[in-house]
This record gives sequence, C-alpha cells and structure tokens, in this order.
Amino acid sequence: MDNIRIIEIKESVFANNDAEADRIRQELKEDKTFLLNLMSSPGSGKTTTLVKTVNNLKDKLKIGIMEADIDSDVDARTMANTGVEAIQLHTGGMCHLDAGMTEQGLKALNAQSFDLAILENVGNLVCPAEFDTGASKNVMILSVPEGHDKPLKYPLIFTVCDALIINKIDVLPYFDFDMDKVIEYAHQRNPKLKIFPISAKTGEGIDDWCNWLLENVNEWNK
Amino acid sequence: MHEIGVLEEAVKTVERIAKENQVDKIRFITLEIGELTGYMPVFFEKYFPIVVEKRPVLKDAELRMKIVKGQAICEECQSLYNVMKNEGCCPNCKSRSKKILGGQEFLIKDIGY
Repeated sequence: MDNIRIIEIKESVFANNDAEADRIRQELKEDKTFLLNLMSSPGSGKTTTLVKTVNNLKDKLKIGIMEADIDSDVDARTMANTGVEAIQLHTGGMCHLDAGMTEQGLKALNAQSFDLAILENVGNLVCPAEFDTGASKNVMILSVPEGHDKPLKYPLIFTVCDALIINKIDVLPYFDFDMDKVIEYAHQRNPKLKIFPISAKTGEGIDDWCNWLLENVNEWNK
Repeated sequence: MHEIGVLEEAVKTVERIAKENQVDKIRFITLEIGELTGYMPVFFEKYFPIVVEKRPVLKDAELRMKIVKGQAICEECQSLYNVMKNEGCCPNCKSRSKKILGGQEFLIKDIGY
C-alpha cells in the first residue's frame, strides 16, 4: 500500500463561511443597507416584536424582511400585513442560515433598495450563533418564560450578539425570572451587550429598542 | 442535531482544500474539537457517512477526532482547572471569573490522502 500523505490545515471549520459573511457585509455597507440578524428560541415573540418594530420605524426607514423557517409562510404573511416587503426563506430542514443562504435571500428581497433588511433567523439558540450571516448587527430575544439561566446554558449566542431583547416582561409576576441575574449572567458572557427589557404585547420598552436600532442603521448607512 | 450543520460546513472546507491541492481522494480528515464547543463526537460519527456520501472526494474517507480539554485559569486565585469537570466554577475559590485557555476550538486539523 502506498504511503498516506498528510496536509496540515489547522483551519477553522467556519473559515469559508466567515469569509463569505465578510464579503456580504462589505457589499451591504457599499449599498447603504443595514442587515439585522434576529435570533431566538421558537416562541420567544420574534414575529410580534418585529411587527412592533416595523410599525415604529417604517416612516423613518425603508424596511425589508426575510423570514427564515424550516417550513410554512405564516411569518412572512404576518409581516406583509404591516405593509413592508417580506419574503419567506425555507432552510430545507437546516436549523440555521449560513452566509450563502442569507445572500440568496438578500438577492430575492432586492435588499439594496432598503435602508434596513431584517433576517428573522430560524428559532434556535445554538446553530444560528455559529454561522455569521454577514449581518451589520446581531440581536437576540430571550423571553421571560424561558428563564434567566439561558446565558449560562447557551453562552455562544450571548457572546456574538450586540443587543439582547428581554421580551414578555408583562408576565414577570407569574414567573421566577430574576431580571438582575439575567443581566449579570449576560454581561459575564459579553460586557458590551446592550439589554432592552420589552413587552411586544403591551409596547413597553419598544421605543428604547427602536431608537437604538435607528441610531445603528443611520450610523451604518451614512 | 446541530452537529450535522457544522459537519456540512467542515466537509465543504475540506473539499475546497482538496481542490486547491489537486487531491481527488481523501482517506481521512481529522477534526480538532474543543470540549467547550458543546459538540458531541458521537453525533459527528453518526452523521459523517451521510454528509460525505454524495461527495466523491470524501466518500470513502474516515473521520478522526482529536478532543481538546476545556482548561481555564481562575481570574481570582489563578488556579488552573478543567471547566467541564468543575461546571465552570473554580474548585479552589468557587469564582466563575476565568480566562479560557483551551477547549473552544473547532478546526480541521489535517487531511490524509
């Protein structure tokens, strides 16, 4: 049997995806389009939060939405009711979007015509955190019923996000959710993380979150 | 189950490297997997044949894995400890403040052909 030759590589598994994501980010910057990658567990209120966000910002920004799900188009139809452009991406069973799939979505949406493109990633706290989509900013939603211990259990997503929305604060009295603890744990993972406690249902806290987003979009697109 | 997604990513990178080096048949790939990534090696083993079956360069390749221990140094008392065994807490002073020294890597270490 002939000899086996070995190539030493020592390259991150995500090197390809990271390079693609950097290229997408560069193109978005040139097109003056801000891409927000929104991540969370299923049922945390991503779509409801987005509806409130879009209604708050649609007079100030031209917004386009990409809804990523394993199947169905219920989210895209909900978003389309707000009057902004919304498309549905199907991941074909995959539990996250990578840079390549995001780029296809941006093309389908014709994202360069928007100030703000929002990617609602697949509901999952693990895989989406591993794949850079090329977004300008990453934001996650954690909802009160999920518990304040999530930064300990899913550290990576808290590390890669720029902002954390804590949703469903209207139900705080009914859960053993410790707001001080979640902030402490989240900042242990990522001291720079901006935190916005909100209730997408009542509208509490939405203004602060939307102001932060608007500032970041304007900064990116100037 | 998220092992399958990252494994797809690893395999795509290996295909690119094989092409760059004009390798048409890979015999093995070695992944270096840090304990703190949360990946379960058993699932990599399980999914590997499925992920490579339609990729001619890798179809008959063997998957090798090198596990890297999750080591940290305590920022309070400077003790060196294993993060997994001690559940993220310094066994000496119980502090959670630490600098991770290893165990977060997820690399393609090498390929054999």
